[in-house]
Amino acid sequence: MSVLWLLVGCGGEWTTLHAVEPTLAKLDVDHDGRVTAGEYDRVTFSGPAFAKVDVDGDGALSSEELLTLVLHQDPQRFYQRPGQAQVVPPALPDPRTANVGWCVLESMRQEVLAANPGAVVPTADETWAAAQGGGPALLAMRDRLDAALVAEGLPVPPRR
Amino acid sequence: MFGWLLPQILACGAAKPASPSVVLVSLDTLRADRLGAYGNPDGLTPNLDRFARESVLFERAYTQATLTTPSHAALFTSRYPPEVFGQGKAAVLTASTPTLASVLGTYGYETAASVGGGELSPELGLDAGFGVYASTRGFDSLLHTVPPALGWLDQRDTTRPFFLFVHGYDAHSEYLKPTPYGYIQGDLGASGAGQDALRSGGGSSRVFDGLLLADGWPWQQVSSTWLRPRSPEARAELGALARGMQPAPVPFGDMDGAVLRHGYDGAVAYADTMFGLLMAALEERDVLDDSIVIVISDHGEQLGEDGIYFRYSGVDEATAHVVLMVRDPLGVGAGTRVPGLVDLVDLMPTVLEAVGATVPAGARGVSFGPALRSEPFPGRPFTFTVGGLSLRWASVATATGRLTYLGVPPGAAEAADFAATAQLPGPAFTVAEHTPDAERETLRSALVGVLRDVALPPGAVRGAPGPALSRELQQSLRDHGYFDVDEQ
Ligand SMILES: [Zn+2]
Repeated sequence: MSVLWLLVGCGGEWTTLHAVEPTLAKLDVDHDGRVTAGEYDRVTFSGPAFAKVDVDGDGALSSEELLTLVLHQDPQRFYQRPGQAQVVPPALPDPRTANVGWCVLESMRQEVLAANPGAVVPTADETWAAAQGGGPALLAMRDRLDAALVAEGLPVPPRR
Repeated sequence: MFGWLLPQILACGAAKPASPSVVLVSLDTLRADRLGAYGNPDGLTPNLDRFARESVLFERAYTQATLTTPSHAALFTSRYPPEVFGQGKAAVLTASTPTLASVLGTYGYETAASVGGGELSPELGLDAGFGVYASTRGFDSLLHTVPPALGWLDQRDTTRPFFLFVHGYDAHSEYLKPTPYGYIQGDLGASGAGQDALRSGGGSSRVFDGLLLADGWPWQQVSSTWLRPRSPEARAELGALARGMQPAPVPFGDMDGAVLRHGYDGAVAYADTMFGLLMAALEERDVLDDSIVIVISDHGEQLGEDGIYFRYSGVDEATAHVVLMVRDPLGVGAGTRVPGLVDLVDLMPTVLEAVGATVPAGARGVSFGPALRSEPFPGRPFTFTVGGLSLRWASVATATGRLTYLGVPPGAAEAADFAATAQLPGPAFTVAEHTPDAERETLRSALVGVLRDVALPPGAVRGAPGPALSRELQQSLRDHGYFDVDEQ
């Protein structure tokens, strides 16, 4: 953030939690500062039950838990339309590690598929699971995708 | 641009490209009037509203086409849609067509796009000029298009400026979004025609004039030309046809319409969150410190205006008025609101001017740079938009009125002659209600002028025929309410 931003009074970083916090506030219809099971159920028609979303079990939805929920529901396939195969939502990841490294893994996977739609690559669920696992699981997935990129003659992104 | 031109005393010491990078975000089907920053009190768009406070906001920006492909074709080339849109659905862009990406490329920019497929699929020609053009398979969200964009950002050559285009269909039908967004704007009810429309594959595309046309209804028989005059007579004719068909259409009342609008608002709220997550990712990569970020929508959506839902049936405020906000990395102009008329074709000359590049000959746009620098900016005298699935309608609007011509497609040689001689008012035109009578002839001469400018000689065809679209893409377009050329 530049000095000028502070001068014009628009300070504050853009963060992933800030992106979902207004939505969380909107769900808190009784304005008691907690989004409870009742408030969650009002707006649920296909998503996981509150008990699954409330990962830490404190009876209220936190920004981290909402962010995890948002990132984990594919808007193309989150409920069963008439005549459509049953949609089985994958298990929710641990919000403490949500989305760590997933963007990079997923973009690598999509790049391989763009170059070769027939390439054998992990599924999006698998890259997601590896990202949530972190540590060795994440690194092993990186190795797999590095190899897949090399096999297609594509450059491998630098490791940060 | 503006702020970038200030002395670089505020910049930190690391080696940086000499020109600003540019991030252009296109939020498909987002009506400007749904944003708090554009006056909506419903609180649907906190992230976009925050972005507006950090940006110069154009209150009266208009698209040049109410369909995705021609709208982006005009955005990328600063040419009017009839000049860059072929006989089929494809944009007629070739390697030699100057585009925003190709011109920036010649000035040393790395260029990439990450788009949500569908009407921006690379087969449709809009990849022209981009170094990298990543597309998902069809009508996808920023949730799908942001990761590839970030992957590209993480690998780029950081000594060079970049141009990144990111697009998502988050506010496009189908509107129903994952928890909690689907129901966030109101109780949608458990059943009813509104729910059926919301949950059907075609979203709102089958709702017309008090009728929900069910799956299996021979909708293709009702080409967009049926709706062309949008006159009571034409609508009555279509209604009679619909009521006589099997399966019978379902009555679609005001309450059903409210369900659909709430669903759309939920999709807008979802788009807003996805946009906020994109901004957070850009912040995390320090992109916001030295990049101009521009947010647009490519067209709006009809949500019951004239009894019609879904955008392809008209050109009006609901469909043509779009979002346009420009954020300077140093915050210059933050919070400014610009009332003058602006077209999306004006964006390319503005960006090129800001980076010191030459605007290609033939560009229809005029830089709105003065507005970004808080200099006097009267805006355009009028804006020009085409609409309808086969782009048969051409519309001009001033600050106070709108006239839409519903006849020969703009680009055909005879269009200007017809528009010049048809009766005003008459079946060839619709005039927006708020238009002063005295302004109709002014609007007509503006329209005829544009139609003359973009016309081809009789018999000429613009561009070479595009490649055949894959079966998958054709089916996807049909599923989302877009007909094949032959069906129009
Ligand atoms: Zn669009």
